[in-house]
Amino acid sequence: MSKFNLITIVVAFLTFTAVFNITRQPDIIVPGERIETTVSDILGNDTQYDETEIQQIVTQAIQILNDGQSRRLKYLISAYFVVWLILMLYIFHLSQKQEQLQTELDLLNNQLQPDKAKEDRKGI
Amino acid sequence: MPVATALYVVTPIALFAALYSVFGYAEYEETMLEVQKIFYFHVSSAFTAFTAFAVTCICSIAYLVKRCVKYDLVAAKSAELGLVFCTIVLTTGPIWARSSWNTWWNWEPRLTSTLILCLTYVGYFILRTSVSTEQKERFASVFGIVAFLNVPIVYYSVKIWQTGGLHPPTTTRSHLAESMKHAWLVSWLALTLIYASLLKLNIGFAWAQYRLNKLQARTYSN
Repeated sequence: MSKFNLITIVVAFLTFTAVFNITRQPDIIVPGERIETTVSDILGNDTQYDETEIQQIVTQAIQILNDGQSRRLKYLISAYFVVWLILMLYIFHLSQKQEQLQTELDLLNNQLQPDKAKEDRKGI
Repeated sequence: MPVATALYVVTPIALFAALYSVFGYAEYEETMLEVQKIFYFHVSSAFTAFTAFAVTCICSIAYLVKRCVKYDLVAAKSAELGLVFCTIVLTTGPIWARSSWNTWWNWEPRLTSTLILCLTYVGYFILRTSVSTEQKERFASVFGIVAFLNVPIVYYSVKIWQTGGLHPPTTTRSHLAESMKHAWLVSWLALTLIYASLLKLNIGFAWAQYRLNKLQARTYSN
């Protein structure tokens, strides 16, 4: 894996995390009529109530729930991003090590058998 | 089928099973809701780190007894992976803490002792790189054994220092709902398999590097 790939992974992770944390979670859209119908269903048609006040309370409750969920999801996704980012960086570190090992091995091979190494390179 | 191949096949399957059990099977915790899902990888990472440090300790003892360089390589590579999982614990923890306790960091016993554990193993690698080759393995093995004493301290820190810290006591698992317990066990298994796969891969590289260095030394001395 080249350094370019590593940079791409890190940038992709950071961009996604940043965008996710900056942008707001889309609200759950509940139309006013639906709130009205549900409130009437719960309270029953006979009960007297201030329709506007109850509608305001329900809308506020939905807003609070929306904000809470949005906030929790952001933390959850950020945490899982961190887990994968750390593991991917470690795998990148291992692949770098493998490349380095291969280079050293080729160098040694060249010194021990210069003719054979040339043939090998031609074969590749 | 060789053990390594079996490990590389089973690990992704276990990982998918873990993700499914966390997000599709385990029920939501009543107070923390979605954010509690961090628990499955946070705590499992901590247990995997403990396992890695235990392997380091056992291999360090084995090295001191048998003086076989392979044990030292396994000890070093396991400590490296333990440090990776410890880093996961120390980064996912504050994210969860910010959401649940409204603070990124608190100098309470569990957090402080985990940070000390992490720094101790950073010290282990500083020692490995700063000591000459002849004594490196011996010193590192002794350090690897002593450093492991931190693990039970981290585990029992909440019980030892009952200062009303933010972490629950070590019996958290028993309070979990059945589905949560299963999801946690699957996650722990998946992370342990990731650890085993990476350790196998890493030991392979370390052993190849060791043999190559020996060969280079012999070639250049002739």
